[in-house]
Amino acid sequence: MALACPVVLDTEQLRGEVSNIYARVASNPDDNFHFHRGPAYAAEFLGYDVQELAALPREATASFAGVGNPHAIAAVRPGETVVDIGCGAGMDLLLAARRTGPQGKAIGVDMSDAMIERASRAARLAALNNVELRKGDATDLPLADASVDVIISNGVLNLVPEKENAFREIVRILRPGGRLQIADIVVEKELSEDIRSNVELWTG
Amino acid sequence: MEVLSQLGFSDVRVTHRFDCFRATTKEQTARKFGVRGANVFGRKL
Repeated sequence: MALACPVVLDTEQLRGEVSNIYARVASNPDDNFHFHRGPAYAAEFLGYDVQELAALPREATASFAGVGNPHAIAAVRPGETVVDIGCGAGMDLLLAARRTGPQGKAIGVDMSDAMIERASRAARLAALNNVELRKGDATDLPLADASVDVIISNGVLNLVPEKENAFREIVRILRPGGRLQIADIVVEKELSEDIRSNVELWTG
Repeated sequence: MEVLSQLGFSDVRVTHRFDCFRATTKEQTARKFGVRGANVFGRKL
C-alpha cells in the first residue's frame, strides 16, 4: 500500500469524480456501475451475514459498494468508539453501532452530502441513537486527537490521492492500542506512471 | 504493510482477500493488474 501517489494527478478533478460517482450510487444504486453494490453482493462475495444485513434498512444496504469486510477482521466490542471513514450509506456504520451498543458510539465521516443524508435516514429507521454523521474527508477528519478505539473503512482509501495525509489523520485520532480495521483495494503488480496518473482508472 | 509499521502500527497483517471485481465490466482489468479487495489489520502502539 503506497502512501504517496508518485505521479502528476489532478487531485481536485479526482475528488470531484469520486464525489459524483458516489452521489449517483446513493441516489440510484440500481443504475449501471463497474462495481457491485448491495446486500446480496456483500453476503456472497464478502462474507457478511445475510440475517444481519436483512435486519438493516434498505437505505443502508442498497448503496453498499465496499470491497471487503472490516467486521470480519475483529469484533467491535461493547462501549467502543468506532469511526467509519467514507461511511457511504452506512451499512458498516450501522453494523458497528449495533455491536458497540448504547454505551459506545459509531461515527460516520463522508464527503458526500447525499451519502450523509442517506446514512442519517438509515440510522433513524434502525432506531440507532448511538450513530453520528459528520461531513469531512479522509485527509482532514473532524475528530479529536486520540479519541477513537476502532477505525473502519471499506473501499475508500484507495480513492484518496494524498494517502500520506489520510494515514497521518488515522494515527492522530486513534488511541494508543486502538485498532485499524480497513478493507481496501490492493494492487499486486507494479503499475506504469501512465496508468497511475489516469483519473478514469482511479475512479472507474 | 511496511508503511503501516513505520507509522507506528503493530501486528499489521492482511487477514482476508476478496475477488470483488468478479463478474463486473472491470474483471479483466483487475486480473491484468492484480487488483483485489483485502482486509488489513493494525494496532496503534
